[in-house]
Amino acid sequence: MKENNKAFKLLFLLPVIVYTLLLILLPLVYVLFLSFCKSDSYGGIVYEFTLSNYLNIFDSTYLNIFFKSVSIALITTFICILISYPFAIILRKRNIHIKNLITKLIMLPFLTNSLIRTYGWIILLRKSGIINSGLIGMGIIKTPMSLMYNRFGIIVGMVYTLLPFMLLPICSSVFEIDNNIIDAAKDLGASKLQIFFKIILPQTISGVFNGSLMVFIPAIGFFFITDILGGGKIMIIGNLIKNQFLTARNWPFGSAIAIFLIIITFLLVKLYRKLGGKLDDLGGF
Amino acid sequence: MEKNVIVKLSNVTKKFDDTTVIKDFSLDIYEGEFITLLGASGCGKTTVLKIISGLEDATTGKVFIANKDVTNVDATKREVNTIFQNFALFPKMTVFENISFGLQMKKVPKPEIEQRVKKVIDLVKLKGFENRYPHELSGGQQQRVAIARGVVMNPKVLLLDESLCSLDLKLKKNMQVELKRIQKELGITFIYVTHAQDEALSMSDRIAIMNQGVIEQLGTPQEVYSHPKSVFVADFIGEANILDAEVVNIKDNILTLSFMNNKEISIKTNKSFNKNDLVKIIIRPEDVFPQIKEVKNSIHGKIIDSTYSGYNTKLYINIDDQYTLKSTISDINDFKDGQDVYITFDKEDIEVLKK
Repeated sequence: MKENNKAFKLLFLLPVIVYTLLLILLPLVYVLFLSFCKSDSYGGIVYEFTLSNYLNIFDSTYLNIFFKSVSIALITTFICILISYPFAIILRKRNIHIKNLITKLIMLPFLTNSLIRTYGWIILLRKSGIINSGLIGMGIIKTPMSLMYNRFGIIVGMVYTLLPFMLLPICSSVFEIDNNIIDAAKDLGASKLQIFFKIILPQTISGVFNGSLMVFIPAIGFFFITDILGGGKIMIIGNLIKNQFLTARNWPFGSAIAIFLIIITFLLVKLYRKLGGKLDDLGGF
Repeated sequence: MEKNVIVKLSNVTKKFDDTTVIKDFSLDIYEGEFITLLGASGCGKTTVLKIISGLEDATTGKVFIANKDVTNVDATKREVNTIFQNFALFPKMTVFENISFGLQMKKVPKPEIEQRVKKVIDLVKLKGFENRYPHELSGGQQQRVAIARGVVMNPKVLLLDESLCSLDLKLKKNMQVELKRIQKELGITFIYVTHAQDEALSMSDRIAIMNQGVIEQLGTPQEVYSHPKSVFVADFIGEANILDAEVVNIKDNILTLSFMNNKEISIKTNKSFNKNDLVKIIIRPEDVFPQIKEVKNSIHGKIIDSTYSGYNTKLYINIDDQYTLKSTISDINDFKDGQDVYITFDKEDIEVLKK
């Protein structure tokens, strides 16, 4: 009976196992394998062991791209926190219907493909776009501002695309705070600032970190936003990997960078767990 | 001995939007007493507590604590502390940090904090749990932390909001005894809010029974149980047979009443009634005595149902196929369902109320 049960369970898990093996684990192993191979000058792969791909990452050109990616991702994360946290605090005291409605409204645009939505930003941000022509029309500025094809445009696009991943975990951690706990702190003589720093912040910091992880990691790799809103002028790690595979045709080097990125991500998740975060809250990691 | 009023509510009204939760509420609470605000949910009892603690403002009326008008004083500065319904412990703080939180907010020097926290930890019997987090504690232990967190502040008054509700029955009984012990040891005034009449009866010095924002009756547990002033109170506190009756005769202070299809009963009373007054009579189930043999001045009935609860049994007795009287007896042996019985009453304890 027990044996039977086991076989039965396995049968149901089979599609997931096949899917995971074939589409996630196998490609990953292949990428890992490639990262230790040499490449020839015509984009082919020479199956000889080398560490040079990894050593190349530490070349100053690539390190520069790393730092730029990290700085853009950090700024994106920070802006997302700055928007989400006060938003959640303000929404906390509203009733459940308003909370549900607003959460749904936040999710609504994300039913559309993110690439298309990013193109939408061009209409807003370009020199002849709605924002520039609007401001000129109102006489606030005389010449159009460069709102895209630069860092600013990229960060706007990233914040826009990734904001829900910050908003939702922060909102859920902020909404979880029991009103009685706030009342208890007041009752014991805590001022508004003390309540925030001693009660609210410690209880929501895991939500903030959770959101930060969900924003920071994709932000390092979001090549299409830098392509579209950065005009290809600014490169982040995502672009670098894409270029190595599609343009420079150096698959081994591209693989090495990809593995490097995965290792960084793992370290960040480890740090998150060390700070008391739960894996479940990251959903799917 | 003159009792000092520690909390005085005078003509307090509280409105939320258009609904009046508390109407013209006045109450004097004495120093060192254990008073319970008892009522069904939504009767305004928790709001009264919040108005005393300052977590809610009174719409009109005044609040005095220790003879000082604190109506406009912020909750953070009132010398009262609250123990919340679900304990509301700070989840990211240890037991010690939870208990010392209020003292830290008051900037009490560290050695004094240590000493005071140690003392209340002994009082609530939580020694050895100082470094645990709330989620590592049982319900009863969390309750103790909540009490300690309030008590450590040396409040003039401790407010307890349905504090035993979430505990299981056995723990609840233990905590009732504990609460009473702590209150006696400290001599602090306890204002306890609950919807559970058994808690109110067993712990309180006085009970204020609330209904729709007003006090229906204020008195000792014995007073409110034995001499309810209204049908609501009689019904809310303990169990009662509430019957319609009419005054047919008054002689000295003996009332003769007609009830249950013109049956007559004579009851001593010191309240004044007129002939033909329609009244309600309140008979507690333990004052209804069924017997198997017919006796003088008894009422005939039939047992239709019984529920056994260990220490006693409740009989449901049908009279004239029209009325059902509840009777609690300690010995079931003589009775079974469907049996004819003859009922007499302990007339001393029957209460007559004007309709």
